[in-house]
Amino acid sequence: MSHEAHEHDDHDHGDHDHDHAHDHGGKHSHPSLVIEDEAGNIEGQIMIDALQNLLVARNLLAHQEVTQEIEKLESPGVHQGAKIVARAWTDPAFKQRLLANGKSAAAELDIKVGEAQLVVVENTPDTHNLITCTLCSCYPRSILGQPPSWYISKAYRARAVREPRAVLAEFGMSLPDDVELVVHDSNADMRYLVLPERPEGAETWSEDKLAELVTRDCMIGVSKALPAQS
Amino acid sequence: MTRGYHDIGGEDYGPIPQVELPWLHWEKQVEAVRNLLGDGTRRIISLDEMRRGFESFGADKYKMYSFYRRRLESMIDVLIEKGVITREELDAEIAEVRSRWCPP
Repeated sequence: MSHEAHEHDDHDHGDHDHDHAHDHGGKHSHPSLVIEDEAGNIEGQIMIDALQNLLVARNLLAHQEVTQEIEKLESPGVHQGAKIVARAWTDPAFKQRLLANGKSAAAELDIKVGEAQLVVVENTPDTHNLITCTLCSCYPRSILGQPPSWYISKAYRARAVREPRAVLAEFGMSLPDDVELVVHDSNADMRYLVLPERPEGAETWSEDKLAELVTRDCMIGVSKALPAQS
Repeated sequence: MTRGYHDIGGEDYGPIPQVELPWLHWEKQVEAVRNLLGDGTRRIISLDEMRRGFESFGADKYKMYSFYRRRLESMIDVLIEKGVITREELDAEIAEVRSRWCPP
C-alpha cells in the first residue's frame, strides 16, 4: 500500500486503531476505505441483530418488516438506469423531459425515484460529466442500487472534485483537454445520473439492445458506454 | 471556516481503491432498520439525524469504522439519545446474541 505525504495527516491511517481501546474486529487497512474482516462483520451482525431484537421487543418494528425492507433495498439495479438511458437515446422528446425533470421522466417508465430529485446530466462531444458525493455517499440508489465500494472511499470523494482528470485516468479513461469536465457533488436530496453518449455504430439498435451497452460506471461518469459490437 | 471531518472534498489522497465488495446481510439490515425507523408511520430517526450522528461522533470513530458500522453506531447513539433504548439493555442483548454466535 502506498502512502502519500498528506497535509492532513489525520486522514492517513494505514494502521489505525491498533492502540484504540474500542472492541472492534480487525480490518484490512486502506487509507481511504475501511473494510471489515470476518471478525468485524460478525461484530456488525451481532450488533444489528441485538438492536433489531430490542426494537421488536418495543413493538417498534417486526422481523418480517426488516426482511421485506431488505428485499426492497435489493431490487433496484443498474438495469433501471440503463432503461432510462436507452429510452433517452432513442426518443428525443423523452430525453428533453428527462433532462428537465429526471424523476417525472423516470416515472413514465414505471421507475420510481425514491430520492427528492434526480438531475440527469448529458455527456456530449464537448462536455463530460462525473458524479460524486464529497460529504457522504449520496447516489441514485433507488435506480442504480447500492454504490460501488470505491464510490464511498475517501479517495474518490476527496479527489473527484480536485483532480477529476487524474481520477478518470485511474479508471482508464483519458479525456481530451478540449473536452470540458463537469463534476457534480450530490447531496441527500439531489442525486445525479449521467446520460452517456450513444456509442457510434448503434444507430439502428433497438432500445433493449442499446440498454446492454449502458453500464453502472458510465452513468457515474467514470467511463463511456460500451462500444457497439454487433 | 472549520471543516467537519467528513467534509473531505478536495483533500489529497492516494489511489482510488477500485474494489467491488459484496453487500453483506448485516449491512443491508442496518439500512433496512434505519429506513423503517424513519418511515412515515414511525418517524423515529431520520436520515439527516443519522448523518448528524456520524458527522459529530468524533473523527476517530469516523476513521476507524467501516461505512455501515459508522451508520450503525450513529443510529444506536441517536436512539439512546432519544431514550428509545438504553446502552445497558443494548449491551445486555449484544452479550446474549454473542453467546449464541460464540458459545462459551
